[in-house]
Amino acid sequence: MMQGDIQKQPILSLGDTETPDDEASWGGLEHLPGHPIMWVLILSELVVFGAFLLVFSAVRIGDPAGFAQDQLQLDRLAGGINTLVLLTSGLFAVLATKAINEDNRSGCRLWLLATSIFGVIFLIIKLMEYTAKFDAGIGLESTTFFTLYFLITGFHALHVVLGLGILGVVAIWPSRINVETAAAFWHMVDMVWVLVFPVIYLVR
Amino acid sequence: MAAQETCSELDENDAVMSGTTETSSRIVVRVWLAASAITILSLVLGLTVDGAVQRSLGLISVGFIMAVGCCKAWLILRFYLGLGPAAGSWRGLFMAFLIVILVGVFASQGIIVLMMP
Repeated sequence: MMQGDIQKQPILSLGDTETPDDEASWGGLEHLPGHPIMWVLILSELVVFGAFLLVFSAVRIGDPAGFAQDQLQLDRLAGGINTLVLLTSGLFAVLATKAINEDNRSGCRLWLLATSIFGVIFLIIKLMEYTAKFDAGIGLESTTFFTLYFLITGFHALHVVLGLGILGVVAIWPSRINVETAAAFWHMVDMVWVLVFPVIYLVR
Repeated sequence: MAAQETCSELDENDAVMSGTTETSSRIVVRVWLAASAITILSLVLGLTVDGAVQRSLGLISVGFIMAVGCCKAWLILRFYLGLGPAAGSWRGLFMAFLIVILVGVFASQGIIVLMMP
């Protein structure tokens, strides 16, 4: 067993081999791919982003015309391209997981690198979007829409940066549990973006 | 429909590894293609629906855009993350999360449409 590995029970054998202590330890999180502690983070992040999106929608009720006007200044094409970029990076993360499951460490590292490259592309496009906004005199405090826009997309971008760090560490020690854990976090980042994109960029 | 086809194919091809459900590369690539295609579709719809970029969207358009977003999120959970049959209760929790987002955004749009003169 590699350093950093934890004991995990096969999904289909749950109930047959799992001890009560295991159940009590993670409250069912051990059924999910990757390290259970990562799922504590993922679930809490989903709650935070879900609350963000619901608050955004609720605040929009108070000024739908203003929100629609501000939304016109967003680059929807860039947002759409970023969605495709993250979906592609998610695909590579799956392939990295498959590679490590086949004990193909070099292949896993290559897929992790491809995942990271697309993560960096996402950040570059996001940075270009922000730069265009700042050049147009739009900032964090310009309007309520842009406050929420920068807050939500910026918080998400921070998670992409964190995900890149995790992918980098895992590429150094590519054990099965490590790769699954990193991929789970990356898929969470991916999933959050596919919800952020329609709510902020498209719905008006 | 593509997602349904992919789902049924996955059910036939699930290979359960220790701790996760492994999906074949071919299925994952098909899921990626389907998710990318509906992303482009929702982008086009969001840009040009109702014949004008600046108008507010109707309930059907918003419902479609959000349904597409939630569908993509579900594809990521089901096929990228590989939440297999043994993770049924977790899948239910994630589905509930997506439904809350979908209903919340749809309801706010409904209120906005009702308030419009």
